[in-house]
Amino acid sequence: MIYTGASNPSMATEERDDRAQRALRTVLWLLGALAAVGLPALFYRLYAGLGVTHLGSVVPWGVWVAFYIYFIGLSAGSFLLSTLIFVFKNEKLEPVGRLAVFQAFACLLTGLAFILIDLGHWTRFYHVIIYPQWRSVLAWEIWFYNIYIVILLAEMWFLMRCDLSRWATEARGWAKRIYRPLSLGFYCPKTPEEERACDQQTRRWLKILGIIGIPIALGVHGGTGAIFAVVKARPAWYSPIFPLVFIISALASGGGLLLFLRAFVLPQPDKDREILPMLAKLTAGFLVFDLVLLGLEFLVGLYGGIPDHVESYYLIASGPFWWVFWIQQLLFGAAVPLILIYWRAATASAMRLGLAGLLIVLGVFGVRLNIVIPALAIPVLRGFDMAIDSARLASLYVPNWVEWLSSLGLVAAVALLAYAAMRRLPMNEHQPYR
Amino acid sequence: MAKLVQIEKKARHSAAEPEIGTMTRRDLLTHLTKIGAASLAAAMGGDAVMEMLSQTPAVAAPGADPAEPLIKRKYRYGMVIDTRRCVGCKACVVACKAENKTPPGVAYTVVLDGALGNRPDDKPLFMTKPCFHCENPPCVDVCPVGATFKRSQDGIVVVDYDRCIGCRYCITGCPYGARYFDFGENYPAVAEGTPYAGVPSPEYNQFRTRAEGKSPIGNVRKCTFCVHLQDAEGRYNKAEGRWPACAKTCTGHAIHFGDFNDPESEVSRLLRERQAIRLKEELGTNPNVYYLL
Repeated sequence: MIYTGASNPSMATEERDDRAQRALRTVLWLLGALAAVGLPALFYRLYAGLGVTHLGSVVPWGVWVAFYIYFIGLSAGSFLLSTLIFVFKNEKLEPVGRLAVFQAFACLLTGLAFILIDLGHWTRFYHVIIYPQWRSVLAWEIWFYNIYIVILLAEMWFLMRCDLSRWATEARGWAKRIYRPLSLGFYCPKTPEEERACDQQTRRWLKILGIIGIPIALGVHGGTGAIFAVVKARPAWYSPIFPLVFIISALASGGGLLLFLRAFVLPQPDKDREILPMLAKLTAGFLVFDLVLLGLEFLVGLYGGIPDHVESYYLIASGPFWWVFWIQQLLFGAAVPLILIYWRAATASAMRLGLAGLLIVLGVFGVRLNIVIPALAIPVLRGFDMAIDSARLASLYVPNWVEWLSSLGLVAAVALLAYAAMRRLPMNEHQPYR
Repeated sequence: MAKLVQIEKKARHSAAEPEIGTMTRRDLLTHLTKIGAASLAAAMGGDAVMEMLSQTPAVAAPGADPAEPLIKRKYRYGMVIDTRRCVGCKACVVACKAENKTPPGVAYTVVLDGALGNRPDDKPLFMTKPCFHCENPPCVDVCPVGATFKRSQDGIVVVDYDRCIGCRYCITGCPYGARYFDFGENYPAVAEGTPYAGVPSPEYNQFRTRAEGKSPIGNVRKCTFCVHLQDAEGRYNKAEGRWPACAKTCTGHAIHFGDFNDPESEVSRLLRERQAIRLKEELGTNPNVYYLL
């Protein structure tokens, strides 16, 4: 059902050669296989509880929390990039506006799914709504996420309503029954004057929603950083720079994903020649800013010399997962993409920039892992991890197959669903229905 | 305060009046004074905001000095643990497990032997570590659903198992490692199907029996000072055996438990007579468990 989208010719595919088509189809099949293997692991965990993971009481948050802040970051970053278009009127980036907002929506839902499966009693998730405790950053975040979802849905509707209503009249059969409700009963204006007025109204609303959305998105991800920043028990987290680091790395990862999707999944070669290099440089700028912040964190922490603080940096740089920092985060997540973007920038192909985007997106996941785990892996009191003989008190946390499979399955399933939705929704202005 | 607000209003009003160039030096000085008063008012307002945001007052909280009792609460339960009397036998760990029926990986008290660093003569320093039931508990602050809280009558930090969603934010927030997640594991002797599996835990007087997926499995758990042993008035009684299990069992009499609000209690007396320390004082958590070195 999902894969039918891939074989359907759509507007951009005409210009794409068969090879890219085949590669895309292979990736989709791979994602399907991953989802087929991973989702049972996810349901197993939901049924059996957190006992099937390698989490413990010394490292209580693991790879799922890393995925959670990763996807919330991708979402906030994508949304903030979209405000460059709708609020700050960067006309050149306009063609990626819908993709950015859609990406923000899909990533937010994925992030929330990850934090849901991380709960010890996931069926009680609604407690955060009915029993909020306002001294908790997490309680505030829930409401930031809720408001943010509403803003994203509203923006998507305003962006697509005209095309959706047109598609609803053009489509036949079941598709009609989908597009009509999606357009919420909106009908495309007939005359050019009406259309211009409608267009103006859309722009005004997008600007208003964007202006409201900026502080909300900053709250969404800066606040997610604050969840960690307020924890004085963990010196490596307890820093006002954290919310800022979250926002900047969010912008880098959001830009990276946009680059990748635009170059490989939904290309429009005529427009991309201009958009992709601009987007790439913007993303690279945020990446460099992020590296500066990382350097500041390390310099101040190491100079301060507070044992728990220094130890967590040693764990990041030379612990058992040193390669996440040096290889994933710095080499392939920063150095290589920067070279891909800036080396002979004038001749950079869409593929090269898209690859740079993908590497940044993968690298930022390393950043997220190194935010969550090493700070926890230093026991709060010396010898606490050895005090009782239990694997649940180990300071070395290595995610097990349930955690990895369920994560990959969830990501693959979301990627497939998002792909199907992208093929079935008007992701470009005045996109003809096929 | 009201006066200051008035001055502030006036300052704003009159600051707009004079045109540039007509202002004398005297005028300028008067305006500066008024602006100063206004900023002072703003700063005082700022203090109020800061107090609202910060749980820990800038000066020592009432009760930080053990000689000064907390009037606002009926009891202030706490411990004074004499490390010179502790031999590291871990009887407290076992007694706690027997009392609260905690599963593997959950130990409301543990014995650390390196937390303070060994002394130069290499004599190990053992230290039993229950929950410190801090006056300013960071774990309570971070809970998104208010499932963990400090009891108003005696300051014991407890967990509402039915409200807790198991997010484990409090575990990351505790600077002392006093919180444990119940992953649902069982000791072989009390595994499902064995006759012992049906024995409920007296915790919080809720008498829950362990069953898959049912609280406290999937919850965060912690030391309660054996709160289920209190009588209706909230009192413990050592002679009757209604005393925290670790303190009751301690072979070397290293764990002293009692009410810091009662100046005649053993713990109050020990604090008066001996030099006590608390862990990570700099965090402002104001723990209710002291160590004698």
